Amino acid sequence: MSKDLLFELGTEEIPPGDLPGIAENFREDIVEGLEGARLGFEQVKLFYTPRRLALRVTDLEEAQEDRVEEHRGPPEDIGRDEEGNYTVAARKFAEGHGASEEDVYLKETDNGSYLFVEEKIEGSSARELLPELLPEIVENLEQPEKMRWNDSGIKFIRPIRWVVCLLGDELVDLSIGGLSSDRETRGHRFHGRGRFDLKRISDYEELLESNYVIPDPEERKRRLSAELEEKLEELDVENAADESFIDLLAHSLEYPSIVSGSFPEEYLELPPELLFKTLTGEARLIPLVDSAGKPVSSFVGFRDGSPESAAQVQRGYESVIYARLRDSMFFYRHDREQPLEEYLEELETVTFQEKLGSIWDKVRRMREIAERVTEEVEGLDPDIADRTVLLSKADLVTEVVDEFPSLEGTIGAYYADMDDEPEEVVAGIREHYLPRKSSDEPPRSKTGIVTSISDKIDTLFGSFLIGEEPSGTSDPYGLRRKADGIIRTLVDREISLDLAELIGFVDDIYGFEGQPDTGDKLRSYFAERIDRVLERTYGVPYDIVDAVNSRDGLEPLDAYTRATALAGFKQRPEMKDLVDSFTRLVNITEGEEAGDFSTELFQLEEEKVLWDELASREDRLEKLLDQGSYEKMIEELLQLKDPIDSYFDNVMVMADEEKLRENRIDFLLYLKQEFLKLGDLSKVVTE
Amino acid sequence: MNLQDLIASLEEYWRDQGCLILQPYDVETGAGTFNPGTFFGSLGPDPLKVGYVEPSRRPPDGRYGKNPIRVRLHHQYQVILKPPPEESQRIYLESLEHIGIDLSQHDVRFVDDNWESPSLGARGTGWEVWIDGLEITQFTYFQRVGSIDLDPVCVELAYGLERIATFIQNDESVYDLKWNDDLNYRRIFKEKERQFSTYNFDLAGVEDNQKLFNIAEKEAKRCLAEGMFYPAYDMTLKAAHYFNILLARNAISVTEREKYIGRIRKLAEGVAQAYVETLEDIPDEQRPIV
Repeated sequence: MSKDLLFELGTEEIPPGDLPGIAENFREDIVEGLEGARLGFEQVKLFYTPRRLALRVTDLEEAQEDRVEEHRGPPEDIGRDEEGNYTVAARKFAEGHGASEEDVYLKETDNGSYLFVEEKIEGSSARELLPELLPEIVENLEQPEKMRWNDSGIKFIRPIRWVVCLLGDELVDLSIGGLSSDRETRGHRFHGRGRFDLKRISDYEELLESNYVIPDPEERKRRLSAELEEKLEELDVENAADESFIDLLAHSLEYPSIVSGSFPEEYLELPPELLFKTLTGEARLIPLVDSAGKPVSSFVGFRDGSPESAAQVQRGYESVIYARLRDSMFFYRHDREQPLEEYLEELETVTFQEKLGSIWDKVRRMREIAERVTEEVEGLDPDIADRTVLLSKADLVTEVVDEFPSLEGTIGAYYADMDDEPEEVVAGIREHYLPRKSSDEPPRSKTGIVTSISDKIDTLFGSFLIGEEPSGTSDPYGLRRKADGIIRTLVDREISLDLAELIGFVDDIYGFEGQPDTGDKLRSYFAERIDRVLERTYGVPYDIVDAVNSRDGLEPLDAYTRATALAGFKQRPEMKDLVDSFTRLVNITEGEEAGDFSTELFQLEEEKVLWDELASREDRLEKLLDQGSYEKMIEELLQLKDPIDSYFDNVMVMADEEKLRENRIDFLLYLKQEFLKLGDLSKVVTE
Repeated sequence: MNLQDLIASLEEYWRDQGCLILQPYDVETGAGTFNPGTFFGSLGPDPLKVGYVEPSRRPPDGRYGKNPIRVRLHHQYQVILKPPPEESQRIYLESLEHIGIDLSQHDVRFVDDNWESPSLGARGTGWEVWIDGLEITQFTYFQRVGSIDLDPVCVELAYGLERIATFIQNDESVYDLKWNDDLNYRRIFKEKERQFSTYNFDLAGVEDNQKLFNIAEKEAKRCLAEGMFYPAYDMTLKAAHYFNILLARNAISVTEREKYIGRIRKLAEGVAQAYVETLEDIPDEQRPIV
């Protein structure tokens, strides 16, 4: 027998950024809870709005199945007396499992004959289990923050104000945070009937909708998007907000209705990013652009509830956005009273990190690092790079960035451009925070690349130096993203840079005592990150990652190039033979110390052939290695396959004569080194 | 509705909700939170409802009387409900209806915003309340004050009176607001804004204000040493005010700023600690409540 279950938790407004994650945890935990309680069900449907989390479970079994559990008791010689009657011990054993003496039976086990009894365990009903299960799930639900609001001891992201729990349309009595469950749910705050009883689970969505709540988040988003599309067409404009902003709107409303309006054209003078930020950040309005991508002086927004008295709401939004834009204009004009360069002196008063000094200290370090990095970037004028780094942080003390921190870099670039700084400097300032997140591209301009790397490596080194390195899941300064950003920049923009060496350089610049072995710790952190980035971002198979990371040095571009070359050959049949040959080389030379060998001591033809084949290629291999032409290197090494095979078939490496044996080992070690320049081929898994 | 009627209407509403109606504090404060009605009111164990107007001075927000929305001194209506009633949100929303706003005709939203006052060692969870995109109230479940976890917790409502009046009167500039039917905000406050902005930004003696800060801090400590936490609290408020003037005067770097805030917080923590400890020794009926 099965029935539907509806569980709704009514709350005060849950922050929209956290809502989907919390709702997903809510669904997962209940599903796991039901499965753990052995209550089967057909399917679940999750609903959520800012004011509720709800789950409908279809065809939930009304009770757990009865089960029989077999218990082992005392051995036969204790459970039965000499006449074969059950003893007191046997009787107590049976009674202990709700059975009687008659139910006891004997069974042979590996350790002899024992008394057994079967216990019938009646399944509990869902109605009994749910009042335990659901409150526990709610109380332990994982959330980004929790608060208290009454003395029940419960903590939740926002106060819980009502609980509905129906099983097959019957109320299930349970209690959460001092509240008893009820049939009464609530509609929209200001529209519809306010509070009403839910008589049938099947009415849930319809009843809520007629009271201005769309509980299904997908449906809410669909409607919002459809209304938005229609409006955009009517106004002949395009939406300039990204998808996550539209999601945020859908998660912050129970019943979205469109509002639109306009603002005075003079505010189009503001940099578009500042204009958009004012609209989205301050009033959650959607900025609009024309077909050429230019901002227009109108906006669209969504309000919560019925679309009535739209003109009044529109007036309200217009006057708010007017005031906000006026403020943004004030900050912008104030910032422009002096050139960007003059903000530099204030950087000394802004702390980067208490132990690591001011932002100005950071800029000074970045300039030194950038000088070194610039040497590796072809065609970049060092003076231009230095100018970019110098100005890169100046906007941190402007009013606009103070008001809208996420515009750092962006606004500095506008100001630099207005000060007639070179184009490359402007681009570099704009791009140097990239990539901010994993979906971002690395900087494109050479100035942006150099500034970005210098900025990030400085932060990484400094953080490691004061013991703030990321651990497991905790990475409060986003250091992982910064390390990955450096790696991706070097790979995507094809810059050869040895991070191991650069870290040593940064170490000298910092020159103060912090955590011991900071440089080495950061090097091993990068080694780890290079592996992960190769695997996750560039899709390199794990065995190839293992093969290429065996080499000394931390050159992301080189590791990437070798990895792609190896991955390209991985499927070819001769690759397998080469890997096998190399593995033999590794095995036979394991634990041996390298030394010099002499060709004079070669006795067999196969030894000489292999040496000739290798020697004739050495110069070319060296050249290919320098060029990073790993594919061609592999082609060359593949030519050695036959000579290696016949060597192993015919030459007895472990010769009796010690001198001969050592010479052969040393030769093979030499050959192995040639392969290792490519990577540890023995790690490659071939078919 | 003019501003004084708005205040009277809120006062009436909260009086009918059983609030103790207090007066603005007579020491400079930056927000209603600094009034003893909230600082001490939120800390004790006894149930309490309080309401009052608080002129809130924020020297860095001054604009010489030239900006239509930013002012150096604005007025808050502050309410504390301890413990929070189950219907806190509804009771608050009804206060808006009471002052004549038809909620069904507007877009009213609770927009998440976790409030924090580092100088009071206070923080809470809650929202900004928006009406057609305009923030009119801060609605916070206080969790901690003077770095002490509250038990019971309380709700703090901080209405921005100029904001609400601008919304109701449909004005573009705060200076057009009618305070009563005859006199507007311009006649009462504009010149004050100009003069205080001039003082805060241009005239205030940096060294003298630093001295005043140090003196206030020293006096607060002296009072605390004797267990006199009320005068110590007044001195803490004064220190906070001199700090705000120094901020406006641009005399404090970002690094120093954290240090100043830390010094004020230390005083506030001392006051809170002394208050809570004193309450433990006083019988229920005689305990000071705010």
